[in-house]
Amino acid sequence: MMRLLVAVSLMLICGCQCGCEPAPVRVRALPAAPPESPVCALPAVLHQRNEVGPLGQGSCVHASLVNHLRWLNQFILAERWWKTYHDGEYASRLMQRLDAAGVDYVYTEKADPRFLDWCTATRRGAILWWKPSHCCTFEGWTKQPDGKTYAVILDNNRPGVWELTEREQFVRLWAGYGGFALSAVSPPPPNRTWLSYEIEK
Amino acid sequence: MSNDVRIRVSLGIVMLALSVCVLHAFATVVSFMAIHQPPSIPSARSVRAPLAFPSAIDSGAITQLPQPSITHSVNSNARDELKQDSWCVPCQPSTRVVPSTTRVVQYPNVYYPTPNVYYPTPAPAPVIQPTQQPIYLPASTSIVSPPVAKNYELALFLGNDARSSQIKQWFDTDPKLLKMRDACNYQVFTEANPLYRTKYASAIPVEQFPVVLLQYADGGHIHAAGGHMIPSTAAALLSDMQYGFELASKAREENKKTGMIKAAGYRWDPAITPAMQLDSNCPDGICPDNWKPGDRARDLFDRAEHQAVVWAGAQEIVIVVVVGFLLLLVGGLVLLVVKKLL
Repeated sequence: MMRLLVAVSLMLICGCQCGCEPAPVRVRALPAAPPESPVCALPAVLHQRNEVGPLGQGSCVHASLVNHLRWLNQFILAERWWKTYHDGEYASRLMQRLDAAGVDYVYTEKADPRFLDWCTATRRGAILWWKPSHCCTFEGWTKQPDGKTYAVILDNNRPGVWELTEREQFVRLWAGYGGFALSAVSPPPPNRTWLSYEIEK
Repeated sequence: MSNDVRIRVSLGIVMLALSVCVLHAFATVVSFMAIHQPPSIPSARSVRAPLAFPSAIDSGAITQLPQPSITHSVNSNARDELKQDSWCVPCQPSTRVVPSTTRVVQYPNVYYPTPNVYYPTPAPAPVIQPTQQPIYLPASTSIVSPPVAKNYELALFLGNDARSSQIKQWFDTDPKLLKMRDACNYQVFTEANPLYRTKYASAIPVEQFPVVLLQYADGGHIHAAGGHMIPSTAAALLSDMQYGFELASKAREENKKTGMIKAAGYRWDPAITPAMQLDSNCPDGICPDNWKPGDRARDLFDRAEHQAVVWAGAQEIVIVVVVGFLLLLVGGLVLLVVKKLL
């Protein structure tokens, strides 16, 4: 009888251990980190300063493009570009040179603010005509504590400094400076990662 | 009953118990595999990336953006003039802000790679005098469709070792990993990468290389593994990433009452597929804590909306029947054995 009881007990224990379902996994979402602002924040140490080229002209377009390519993690292309091109530039020749280099890009010549919206949404940024006879790097729209949206501009004449201009004024002035903007089609770098969930134990 | 018989019966019962356990375990595993279906890979089809760009434009030779109603005129002369400014005097007034971030980043010495490549000789640029009219050349005929924003980011942080090369090769050749890669913004970083050194080195030190990082576009991690945590096969890595995606998705859903991940199939609601993940025990809104007598009885007769007779999924019913049949079979065998021994 005792042996029978032991055998039945063993059967129950084994059945319980073999037949139990695995405990469901519990996960918990963690608070989100504040978003980076601006979205295309190239580290200051990587900002390319404008230089005068062999023809005695400023190289703002190429410096802006180098900043833009460095942001897109295209360092070798950026160094090659900076090695190859200096001096002044204009829109159509810039695009010809990009074609020759095999670089895909998108652009606008009509001061279309939605182009810059796309550059911000995809975190690519752009280069654009800004200030008289000058080219700068667009690092995205940013919303400030006053509730207004500002354009964040990296001027290659002043590396390490972001210049903010209110959106409506920016678009108006940008049109006056030619309304051209260009962005290379290349995946942007990842955001700084933060722990989004944890498994509860 | 003699001792010999008792011993034989006991041994027989023990053997029977072991066989029942094995059958039970087998039935449990089979039923679990039948119910649980691996989650779908976050592929380009399943990931509905919001279209950041208003609409695709296909105007022929050059892909251009849709033209808004223009409230401001564009200075064509300024657009086409040579941009050669080297300093800004005078400048348009603008707010200058020194960026102050909450994250303190130590900027290390930047190493610029010096690749041994051939630099093409540029074509001689035409000399343009500022007083002359700018030369406007026809625009390029490149056809480029602006890509849509992607919801996911995949980054590899690789060293110079064989393991890193193997992982890179997985994402270049394995069909499923390649598919995942194409659905994400994909980047590869090495220790010498200046962007890595200035932006990611503090969070992902070199000692952890190689690192595979899958995250949402806002930086929320989905799966992060480095060093020995990366499995030895591409299939296992994909499985880990899928599991991480499953957990991250559940954590992000609105209803996080219990955080439990369960799979259940209900015949009464055609909107719920058999493999749908539910994180609530009350899919019909009738929860154990607020159940009232007659709630279930009402639904049983509500044939217009619910067609269930038994509150159980198809798989559960099959499993109960099979296990019951096996138990009956085993019981019959036990009786036969005991009868013969006696």
